[in-house]
Amino acid sequence: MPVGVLTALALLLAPRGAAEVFKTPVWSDRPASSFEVVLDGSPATVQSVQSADTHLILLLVLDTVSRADRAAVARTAVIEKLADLGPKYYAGILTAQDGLEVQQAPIRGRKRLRQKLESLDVRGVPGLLDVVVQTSRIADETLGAADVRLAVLFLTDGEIEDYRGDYTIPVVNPSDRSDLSRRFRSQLILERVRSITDSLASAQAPLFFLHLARQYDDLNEVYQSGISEFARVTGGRALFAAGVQEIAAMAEQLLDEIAAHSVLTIEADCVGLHRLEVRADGASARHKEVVRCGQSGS
Amino acid sequence: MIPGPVFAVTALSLLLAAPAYAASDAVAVSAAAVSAPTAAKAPGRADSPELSQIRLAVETFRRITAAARLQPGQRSDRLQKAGASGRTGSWHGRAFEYFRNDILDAVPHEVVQRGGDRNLRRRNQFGFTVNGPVVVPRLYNGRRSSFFTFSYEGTRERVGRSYLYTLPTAQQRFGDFSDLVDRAGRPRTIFDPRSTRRNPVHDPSARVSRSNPEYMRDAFPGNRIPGHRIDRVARAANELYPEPNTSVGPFLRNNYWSNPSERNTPDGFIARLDHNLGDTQKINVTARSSDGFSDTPDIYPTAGNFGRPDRLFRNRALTVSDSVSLTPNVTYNAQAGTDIQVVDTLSPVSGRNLPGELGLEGVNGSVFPALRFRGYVGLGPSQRSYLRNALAKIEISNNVIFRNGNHTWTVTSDTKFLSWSTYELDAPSGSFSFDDRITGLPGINNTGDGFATFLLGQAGRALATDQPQPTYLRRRAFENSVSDQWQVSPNLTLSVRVKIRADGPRLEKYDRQSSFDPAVTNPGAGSMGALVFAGLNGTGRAFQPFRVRTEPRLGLSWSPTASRNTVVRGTLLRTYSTVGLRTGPFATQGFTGRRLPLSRNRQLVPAVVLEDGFPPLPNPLPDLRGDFANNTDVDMIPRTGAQPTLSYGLVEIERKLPNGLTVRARGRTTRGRDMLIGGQIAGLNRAPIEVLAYRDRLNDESFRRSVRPYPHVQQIRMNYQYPGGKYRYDEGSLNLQKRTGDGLSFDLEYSYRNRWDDYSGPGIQNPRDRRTAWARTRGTRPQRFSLSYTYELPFGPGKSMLARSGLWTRLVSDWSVSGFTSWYSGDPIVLEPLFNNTGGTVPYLRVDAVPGADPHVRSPGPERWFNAEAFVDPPDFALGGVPRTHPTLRNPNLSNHDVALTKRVVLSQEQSVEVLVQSFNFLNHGNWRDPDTVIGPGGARNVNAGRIIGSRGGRVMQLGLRYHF
Repeated sequence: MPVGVLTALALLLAPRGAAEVFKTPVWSDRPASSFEVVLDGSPATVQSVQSADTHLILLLVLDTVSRADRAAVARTAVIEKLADLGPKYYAGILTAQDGLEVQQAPIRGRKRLRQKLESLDVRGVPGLLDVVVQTSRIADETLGAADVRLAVLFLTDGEIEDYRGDYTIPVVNPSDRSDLSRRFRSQLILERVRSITDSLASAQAPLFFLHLARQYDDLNEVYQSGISEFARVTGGRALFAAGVQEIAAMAEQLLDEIAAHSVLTIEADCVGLHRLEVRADGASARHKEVVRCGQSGS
Repeated sequence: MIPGPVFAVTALSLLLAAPAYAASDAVAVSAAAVSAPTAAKAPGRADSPELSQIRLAVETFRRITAAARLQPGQRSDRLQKAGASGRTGSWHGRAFEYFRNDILDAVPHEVVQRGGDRNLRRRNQFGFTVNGPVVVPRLYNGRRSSFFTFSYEGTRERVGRSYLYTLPTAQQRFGDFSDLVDRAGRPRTIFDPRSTRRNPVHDPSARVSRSNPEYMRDAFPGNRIPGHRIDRVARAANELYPEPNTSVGPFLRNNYWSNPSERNTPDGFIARLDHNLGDTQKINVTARSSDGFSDTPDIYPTAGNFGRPDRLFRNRALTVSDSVSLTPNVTYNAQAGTDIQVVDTLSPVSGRNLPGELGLEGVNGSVFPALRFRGYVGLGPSQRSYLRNALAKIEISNNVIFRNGNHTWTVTSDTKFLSWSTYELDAPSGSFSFDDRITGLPGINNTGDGFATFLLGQAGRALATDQPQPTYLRRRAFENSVSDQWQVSPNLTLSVRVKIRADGPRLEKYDRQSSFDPAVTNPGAGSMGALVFAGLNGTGRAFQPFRVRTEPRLGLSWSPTASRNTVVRGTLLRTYSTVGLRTGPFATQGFTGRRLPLSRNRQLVPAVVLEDGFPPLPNPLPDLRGDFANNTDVDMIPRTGAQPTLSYGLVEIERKLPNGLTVRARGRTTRGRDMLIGGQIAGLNRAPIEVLAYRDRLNDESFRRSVRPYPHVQQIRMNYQYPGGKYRYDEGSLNLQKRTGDGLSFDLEYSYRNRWDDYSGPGIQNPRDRRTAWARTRGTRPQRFSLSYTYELPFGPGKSMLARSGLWTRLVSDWSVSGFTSWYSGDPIVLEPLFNNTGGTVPYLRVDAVPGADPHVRSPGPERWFNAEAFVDPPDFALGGVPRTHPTLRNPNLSNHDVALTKRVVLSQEQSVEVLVQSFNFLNHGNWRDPDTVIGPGGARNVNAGRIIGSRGGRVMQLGLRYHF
């Protein structure tokens, strides 16, 4: 019994966290030496900075299931922008339908990337909700292994009703006239979004999303809000193209943002989730809002 | 081994240190990758440090994805648990239970207002959904190729319904009408039809009035019908009529309140199977099945129940689809589906012969006859309540999508087969209407009483149908379209679609259909207009042409600014609606019969006396003579090739704002012509309105038939298949939307809409002058405001409050509030006259405006919603002048507020439980009922006109539990 009491006391009195090292994306045009990091009000140490002119790996995840025309526009825009960005940018290609699958490990060769992208079919059912956490984990482990910058860009045209998982709660019994369980039909989507958002809170690589076919019905609005949330919690961004003419510009915008980010490697005594604040030369820099330390990452 | 207490304390301290999902995240780090960071730090070749780092990262990526079997050609053959594995390799789903009980609810306003203290509600809704790869141990491993989804749901429910009706008083039920008053509260006299005689001093040059009646009758002494005069059948039916149980008023009206319960017990499932044939082809099979029984409320606890009968429901559907990617730029989709829906109210019918028990002879049915009394709620379910209808749909569709440069082409082809097997008994045991004319003074309003007429058994209108077999209706439709989406420039996209649709005519499997043809000579009457039969005497199998139409569609999407934060969209479209199949025995006369005995003068003599029974058909069915339907209503399938045509235009401007906000303004308009209307509104056999000058002579059936276009038939029924209506719809809306961020997302919309037409609502006065019927559409609420929102409470890790981990934090985190709020302005008020003395030539009559009187009141309320004194019934044999729907008066607004509170409890990375507390109409807001809009003549106004009787609605709570895995 004394052993148990002592163990408990030791655990309760022990410092909440040991020194943890993790990475986080930041957008600022100030010099690397000017970054200051605060975690829940306590300053943390910036170990190193991968600035916006260093190598970057882009993981391009295709989740295109129905809009061949829009997918083609998006693929072309991405390839052309990568060509503009120069040789420090590597890109890998994955597909999300029916489970995550690597189509091309990160390479620098634009011609091969173009060929691979053009050979991929627009098919299947959407997989974004099923693979986004898995993709984030792969990205984080890759990011943690080396001093590089890394970001993930999803190209998706899926609608929530196309998923295999039942998120739209279709009516099973048409004769049940006083059914109110479907009044808040979006709750299944919200539950899934929350579950994924919780998991992504520890993400270190930013996730970007370009939805190629924005939908306006209530359920898809919730789904699309969820995608925005995935981007927000990882420090990335989500854009939604209502028309095909918006796609190229949006792809360019996202890749510009990806190219402009720096990666801070931070050391801090912490555990769990913390609100992050990053300043550069005293001014606030754009960064992800919450980080988790002590449970994942390097 | 760790001692038990040590283990417990350790576990507790760990629990307090971090939320559950954090612990699971630690497990989720791939075992294959844990060594990568340190191992990869070793320098490789003599690259620059930067290049060696990127090589290290790529190598790590390869190693992680290979370990997770994500590389090309790898296929997962086991359930992976590492962090790099996905969600597609295992089964997931949910199980749920929703619970409602009246203990949790507010007592509805309508129940409280009648003195009730509860409204029964017992409801359990339960089920589950599971989906994942198809795996049969040692036989089949379908991971990454075969997937299934199976959902089951069942409900067990009893719920109360509330009704307020007007019944005859207890003494009236036995023939004592000494308490009978009109809508103004003044005594109303009933007269003995046996005493009818011509007025010897009637002046035909003057209008019929109380001082100059054409016919005379003696009042029943003391306003009491002697017991021996009460009809035998009416007496028996009267036994099944309930007594009044409340006195809402005014006077003796609204005196029966019923709060019975209904039972509903559906069970159903949806099963879906997806199979990937290689990387380019996907097959999907979906099956649906649902069985339900609805034990509907007994408004009267007797066999004479006024409510609709119990129903059985069955739904079966099967869909098979195939999708093939022929090349990256060419996709082919094919789908074939069948859907069967059955509604059956005949099977639950008891074996009793209710007409026989009442002593009613001459009808074929065994169910309770429909007895309707003007001014009171009737006995027996309404017409067409007893049915067994089965709808079967087969649909086959194909489409090819291919991309060429800036163009994306889509070619589609759809074929639909529709079949209705319908056995919808129109009036199997007879339908009888009793009005106040037989017991009133002929030609004098506000005399007599419908229930008194019923007690005498003298129906002014009676119908009985003979339907020896079901009807099997068929229709085919084909659609082919070509569309192109053309990206003209980075800022501009145009889309064009041309669809060619062909709608086949209505067919009957055994050609058992007929139609009134105005161009055929009637063998019995010698004039034009007779029944013709499908496939007989040179008539084809169908009465409608094969309609082929071209539907064009043009759309654009344009970003006018370089930033592309603003998008303008526009659509122009023309579509055609199908002249659909409708259930029931419509247009099968000759194979089915409608017995419609006629009164030679409905003021003087009845069509049928109940105790005399119903006269039989002159010949057995089938009776395929052109004059089979003479002197009755006839059914007509219009032979015109016209069909409803809709022209639609939309302009939308959307602008993205900072902070995740999007604002959208939208305007759209629709013009409709050849909209489908019924025979009453088409009015093909209506006498011209000028005949109203003949005044009381129009009560005589022989005279009235002389002024009809087709004298030998009564109404020409169209079953809402006559393409003759027009409408216009305009809408503007403004929408503000915020995507989530800081936990809040919302969608706020205000819209204003107007809809006008010349056919909706209860009817039109003069079918030959449709312009005067052009008015706002009944039921269209012009203004709408809606707000939907979700807010995640800011407590817990990563949130702005109580961000630290711990037990308390776990209690207060993961709560969210969702809600819907809606507000609708009132729809246009439709004013109705109390009396219609037009000799049966104007079935729907409007009211007149009182010159100089303002219909609006300063502060509308339930006691006086509008100024009824501003209106008056039109004079006898004259049309009303107020528009069909009032241009400025509106019914009360409608609002509702629903809120749901959700607590999510995370059990592991893949498991969670949601606790749901949902409140519908959570403010317990009562919406006013619509006001009484029946006006009355100057001397006998309806004192209740413009008033509202009570409100309705109440808070309903639902608790739910959902387990996700």
